[in-house]
Amino acid sequence: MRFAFARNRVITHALAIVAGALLAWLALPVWREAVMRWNQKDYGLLVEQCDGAMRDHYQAKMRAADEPSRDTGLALQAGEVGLIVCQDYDLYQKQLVQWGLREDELAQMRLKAIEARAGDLDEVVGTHEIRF
Amino acid sequence: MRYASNLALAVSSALFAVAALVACGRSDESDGAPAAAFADPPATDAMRLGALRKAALANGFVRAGELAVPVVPARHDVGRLIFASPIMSLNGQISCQDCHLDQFGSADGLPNAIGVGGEGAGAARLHSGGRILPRNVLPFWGRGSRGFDTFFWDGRVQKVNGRVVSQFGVHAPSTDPMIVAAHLPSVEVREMVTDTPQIRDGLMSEDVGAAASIQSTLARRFAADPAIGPKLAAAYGLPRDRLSFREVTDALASFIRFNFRIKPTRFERFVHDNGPLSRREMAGGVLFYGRGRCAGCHGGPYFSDMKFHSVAFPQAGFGKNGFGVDEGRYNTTLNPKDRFLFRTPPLYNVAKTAPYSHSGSVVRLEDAIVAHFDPLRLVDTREMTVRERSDLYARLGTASRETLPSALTDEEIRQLTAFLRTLSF
Repeated sequence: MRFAFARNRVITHALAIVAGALLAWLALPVWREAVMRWNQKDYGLLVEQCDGAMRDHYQAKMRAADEPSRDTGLALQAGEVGLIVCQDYDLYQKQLVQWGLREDELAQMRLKAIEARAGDLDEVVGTHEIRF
Repeated sequence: MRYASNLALAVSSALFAVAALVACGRSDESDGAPAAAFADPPATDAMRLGALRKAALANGFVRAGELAVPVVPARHDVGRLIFASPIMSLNGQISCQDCHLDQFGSADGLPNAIGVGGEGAGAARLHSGGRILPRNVLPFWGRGSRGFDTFFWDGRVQKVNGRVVSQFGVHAPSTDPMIVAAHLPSVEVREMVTDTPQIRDGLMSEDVGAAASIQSTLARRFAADPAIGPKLAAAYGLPRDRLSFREVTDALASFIRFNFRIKPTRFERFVHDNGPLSRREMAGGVLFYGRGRCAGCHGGPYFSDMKFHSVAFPQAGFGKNGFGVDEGRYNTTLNPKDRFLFRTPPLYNVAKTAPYSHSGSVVRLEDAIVAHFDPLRLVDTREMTVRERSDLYARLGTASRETLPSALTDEEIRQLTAFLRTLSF
């Protein structure tokens, strides 16, 4: 009797583990989707800000090379300080990886940020396309 | 078994809740990311703090003590009396102090200044029936200190290549631009001179002789004043009957230099003495010297390049050129390239000197920042007349050629204002 109880207990535990693993496997995409939704706005903003900072820095660097002066040197330094936002972006991205997102999901979030105004294009096409 | 399951469920639920909270509140963990709404803990990010110090020094930030110009105590003491005396006004009852008040950070707290005829302070002065001057009163912080050589919104008194350029032309009463600037308010109609038929017929001639005539009269009054005359004479070692307006303005300039000198700030202690900044202040500083591009114009020891720039602020009042237009620097140089340009305002004590802009059209410091990169947020173009919209369009054209900041979020604007408050003393 004791043996049967112990055997049942093993089976029950094994079933619980399998059920838990199955649940986790099924829940993982939902979890990732939730993390993406929660973070899209802030992460998207950092994507945009870092992109702008990199562009500003590049332009300031070109200008400092073309017209070296104190003013263009200071503008370049401002561009370098501006790049600090890219570290915020990087840190944030690493946090998202910690929370289970993979490169695919991050790429998807970046694309969403870059194409944040893609809806405008749909509207333009919707308004102006020639309908036969 | 049931107990164990319940315990496991409770633990996992708690862990999930903690995880969700951490995930939602992750932005508080980074110094550079938006800070918590209420707490503003000390900044500890060595990289950002170091970058901020380095950028401030590279942009010309120095200790307050390096900017002070020594003055003779007896002269600034009598200058204090002159500053508060209505004798400075030829035919009105107004002193310098009436528009430069301590409670408004040495300005008057009003959008446009109220000149002769004005009484009281703040809103009471606005409604007292005084003559409106079409520009915002400038605060006095740092005026006449080392390197502060460009005066008024339009730079109508300026030291260029060692020479004072002003409306006095070659007859400038001094080689010190601060003293030349101190000569002007006493001969400005509506500011300190009441516009009467006698003034119009006898003195409104836009020449240096008319100004000298008024100022000789004022000098005689000061010399004859029982409280001011003897002290002024003693301060300059002259008999009272030899005192001129030169001594009056020199004493006034000494007082302004001394009383409104730049003093140490929290930002100075941060840059030079490793003093603390909060996270939000540090983030604002990084924005100021970085993506905000503020230091491009608000650089140098006074947070002003002392040059002329355009920001498409809304216009309040009738404007220097009438009909709600103020063409700024153009009024001084008559160079079309200078339309709508104004001298970059220094930022010491900026948090105390609202409202902002040349016409005082913006009440909040946050909105003054917004005007630099998103000016249309501050106006309702549907409520404007065609003329007003046309004028705004002209200002937008000039402003758009400036070095514009990145589009800042509301939280970033709050960070910038927190940083600007570290420039108060």
